[in-house]
Amino acid sequence: MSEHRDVESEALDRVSRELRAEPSPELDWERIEQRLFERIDASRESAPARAGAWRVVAALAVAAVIALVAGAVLRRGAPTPARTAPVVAAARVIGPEASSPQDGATLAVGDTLLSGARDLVVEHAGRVSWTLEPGSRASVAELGEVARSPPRWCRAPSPRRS
Amino acid sequence: VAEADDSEELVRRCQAGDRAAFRDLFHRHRSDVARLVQRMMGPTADLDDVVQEVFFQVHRSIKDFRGQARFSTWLYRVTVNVVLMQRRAAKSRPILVEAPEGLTPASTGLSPDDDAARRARMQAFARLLERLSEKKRAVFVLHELEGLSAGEISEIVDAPVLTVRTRLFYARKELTEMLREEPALAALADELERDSAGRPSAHATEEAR
Repeated sequence: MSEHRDVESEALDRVSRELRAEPSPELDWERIEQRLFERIDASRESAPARAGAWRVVAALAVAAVIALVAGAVLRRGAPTPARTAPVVAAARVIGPEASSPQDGATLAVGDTLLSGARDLVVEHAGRVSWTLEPGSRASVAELGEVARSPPRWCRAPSPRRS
Repeated sequence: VAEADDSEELVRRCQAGDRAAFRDLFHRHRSDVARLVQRMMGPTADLDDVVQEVFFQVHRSIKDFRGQARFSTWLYRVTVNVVLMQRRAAKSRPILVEAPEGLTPASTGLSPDDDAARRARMQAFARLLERLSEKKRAVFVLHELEGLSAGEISEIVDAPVLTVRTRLFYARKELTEMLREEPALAALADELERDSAGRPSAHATEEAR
């Protein structure tokens, strides 16, 4: 077996020597050279274009930074306006001692209606009136067209009797 | 790789953007690069393209060459990397083709029969090399066929010398074990066996003339 291996090893050396002795392949060098230099030239031409594109991007970036910095400086120099909260009417709690009927036109989103021991009636003049049973609570979720029944701007939980 | 005394100067001029110097560099090293590519890839129709790609990469990155190694070592490194890249891009082993005309010169001084046998051995050997892993093949080709030292190869393949030696050992072992699977190489081994047994073969007789 080892003799076999020696023979095969010798054969490997022999074929390696033969391959080493092979001259370099003869290629169409003129064509390769021409294509190589065409490629090099093309890459050189595209390089300035890429550089130009980068210059534009860089200029835009610089302009953006300047705008941000200038904006910050101007804001710091200008009198700071008072912080104003959005103008939202404070939610009211109507009842349980409120007079009845209540004017539906005065309701706003967020208002809460409470009926005490008595019914609380809300009237939308000329259109509809509705009644909150005693011991109930409702809050205005949305203002919209007042429908015949039930008013969709009103969410009335199940009546709670006290 | 042939390395003339003025290689350093030529490289310096290339780094300065001298087109004529790069052309000289191409003329000087193109045969060595083509030979290494062919040995690593086997007979392939893409040889021209791969050689062109090697020199394109050389042109692109020659400014990064700082002279820590010989230029030829650096060039081999670029070549090996391009070959590996091409093979990975193909995502499969390249299809071996018959050697194109001109790749295997006919003027070997052998008889037509012996020359045909030699060609068959070359093709069989290329198939065996193809069966090695990329790393083992690169090391085997660089050492056994290009005659580079383990130290030079370690720079080219970016691996410790000990790793290079180990790869070389296993490459030889695998090739030796696979050798008889190729009829042309099995015939050579048989012939050598007969020779060692003291029976002169036809080949030996031919060589003695």
